Amino acid sequence: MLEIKHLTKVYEGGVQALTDVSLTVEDGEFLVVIGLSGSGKSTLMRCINRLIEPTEGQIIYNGEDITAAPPEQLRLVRRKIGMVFQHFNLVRRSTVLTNVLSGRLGYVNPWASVLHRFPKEETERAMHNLERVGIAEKAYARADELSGGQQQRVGIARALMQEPELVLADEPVSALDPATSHSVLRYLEQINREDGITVICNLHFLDLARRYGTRIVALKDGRLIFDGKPDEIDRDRFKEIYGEEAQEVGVN
Amino acid sequence: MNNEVITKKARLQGFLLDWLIWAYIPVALLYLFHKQLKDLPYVLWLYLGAVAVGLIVALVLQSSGKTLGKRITGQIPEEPIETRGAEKGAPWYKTQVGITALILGVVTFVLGWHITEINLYYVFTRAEKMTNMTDRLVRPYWPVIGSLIEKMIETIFLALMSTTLSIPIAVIVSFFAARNLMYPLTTKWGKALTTFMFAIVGGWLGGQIAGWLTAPLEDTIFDAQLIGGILRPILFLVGLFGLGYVGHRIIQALLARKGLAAAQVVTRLMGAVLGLVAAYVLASAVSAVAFGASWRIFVRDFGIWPYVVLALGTIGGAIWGWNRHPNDEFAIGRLVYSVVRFILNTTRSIEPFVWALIFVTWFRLGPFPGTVALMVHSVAALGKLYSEQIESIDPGPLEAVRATGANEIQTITYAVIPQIIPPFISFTIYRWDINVRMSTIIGLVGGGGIGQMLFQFQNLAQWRKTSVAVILIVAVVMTLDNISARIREKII
Repeated sequence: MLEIKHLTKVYEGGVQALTDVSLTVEDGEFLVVIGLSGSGKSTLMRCINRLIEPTEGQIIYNGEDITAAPPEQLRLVRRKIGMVFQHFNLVRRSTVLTNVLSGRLGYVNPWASVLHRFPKEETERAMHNLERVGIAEKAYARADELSGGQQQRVGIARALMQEPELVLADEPVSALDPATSHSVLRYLEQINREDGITVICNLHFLDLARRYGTRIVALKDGRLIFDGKPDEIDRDRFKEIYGEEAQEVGVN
Repeated sequence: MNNEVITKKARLQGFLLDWLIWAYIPVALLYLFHKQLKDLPYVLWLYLGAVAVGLIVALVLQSSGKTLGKRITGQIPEEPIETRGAEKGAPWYKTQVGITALILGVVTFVLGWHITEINLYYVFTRAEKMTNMTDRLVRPYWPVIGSLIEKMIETIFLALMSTTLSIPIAVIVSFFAARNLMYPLTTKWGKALTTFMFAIVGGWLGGQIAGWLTAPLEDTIFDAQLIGGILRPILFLVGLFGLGYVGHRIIQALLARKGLAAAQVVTRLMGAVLGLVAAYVLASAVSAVAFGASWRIFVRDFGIWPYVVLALGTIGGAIWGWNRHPNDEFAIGRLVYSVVRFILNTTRSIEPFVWALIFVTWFRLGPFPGTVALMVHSVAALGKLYSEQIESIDPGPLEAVRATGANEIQTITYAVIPQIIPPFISFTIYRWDINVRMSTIIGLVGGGGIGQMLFQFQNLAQWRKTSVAVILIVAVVMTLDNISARIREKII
């Protein structure tokens, strides 16, 4: 269970990205966070694993205060939290397999890993995870030789290497076309249903959020303005979240 | 409020700039006649008078509005966009800014002409004197080429070795000079301070112990100089890291305790000691440089003052340390970054030529000091290029690898290194190319290679042999230029 209590983030320079956000995520949920660009979705996500240091507030994960964790402990927390990124964040010049294996760095012997030596079972695990996302045949290709959708699946395989309890997906499909978007989100849905991994996912499109989320929260100007079931978002709610001007567009 | 402060500062800057401009003009005019004036007893007063004239002119002009200084410091507000272009402005030669800039330009050009002793008479009358030499330059004396090729090989390898030796150092240094890697690094304030102080004391102790150990070896069959020379840096490093580690453990243990009183006391004490050491080092260095005297002049020759300065330093350090909590964040990454950058910039701004002068006195004449000189300069240059490359990497993979729970070294191995290898290779080849060109110069001060021969020949006015050396250098540099460009093209 993830508890976010009164989370506030003010960037250097005074930009207030999050204001007093409180939220509890139950195990096994597929939580979708929606909101306009700049509403604080990415900041919220990065505060959870402290890629960004929160200014105020607490994040408590399974009873442990992440915000107060010293560096070593933070590493142990991070390796239980997988992350999938908008721009995939693969090392473009490395092979797909190396990229996937890098998801395991928190577990393996650090010195052996610096020499790029992984135990055999880790390589097998990597191949298995690549099979799960359907691109095992690309294992030895360079990451930048893959299409966008394939790269995002590598990103998911990398997150799976961590045997995560929670996956943070930061706009995982914004850089992809509609058809590929669905395929990537289906993989996230699959790991959520089959492995019981909690997923927190930022999405732009409301219909994707409705289709995949078991629960939706909305951010506007860094504040939490909606928290509920997907079907609770009606026209008024929509206008509230996206502004009066907005028109709902679909991804098919 | 904030706005007002800025204008005040800008106003002062503008005024100082105007003063500088208007003092420069009369001073420059005086300097035109410096040869005639310099023996006069009151020449300094003349110049000071000119500066005063500048002050008066600047003061008078301040009230007149649009001075050049105000323009440069941005005090003259731009016309609002709506009215801009509605009226024809005054032509530049009728504005104060234009006239001032014109006077400034003319005076500077005339002064420059005077100082560089441009002599058109020679230009038109003495051309044939030069042909005496150039005639021989175009008739190279080829028999000398054998020994020159030997020296050219020496030069090429000198460049190669200096580049190769500089790579590992530059790579390591560049990580510490990369903003994106260093800035996020922080530690606890008490930890940084205590570790640092222990390390300094350890290093100093190591050096002392090396001295004591080698002293009895003097005048024996052992090479005391060699043993001391090896022992000193080793013991220095052992002391540095050993005591540094001890300090680190001590403060770690103190910080782990419930009450922080003990840690507080230690860090305050360390603050005071740091103040003392800093005062000693700074005062010694400043007085040594200022008086052009030995390092010890400060403690030896100033009577009571050293004690006062040291006491002030201690008190300053204590006050500085007093209000800090040992658990406060300390941006150690920023500090290391600034220090490394500063050292790199200084090293780089000293020409390899000068480095060669220094190392020739250490390693004696020959290609070795030349190699080391080029190496030092290459470390600084490559360190900068490498670190800029690291700074421009895609931060995405860095974030991703960090998020998996990897430690810093793993993050660098997996997210940074794959991204920087191609540009690193490219820059290194480029640097080798530069080093070949520079190593021809290094020879002039005894750093080995073909430059040494070039220098010899031209000293003896052996222009036909000089010609061969020049041709060889041009040929080799052009060839290497070409090759390195091709290799770099292939890599990127």
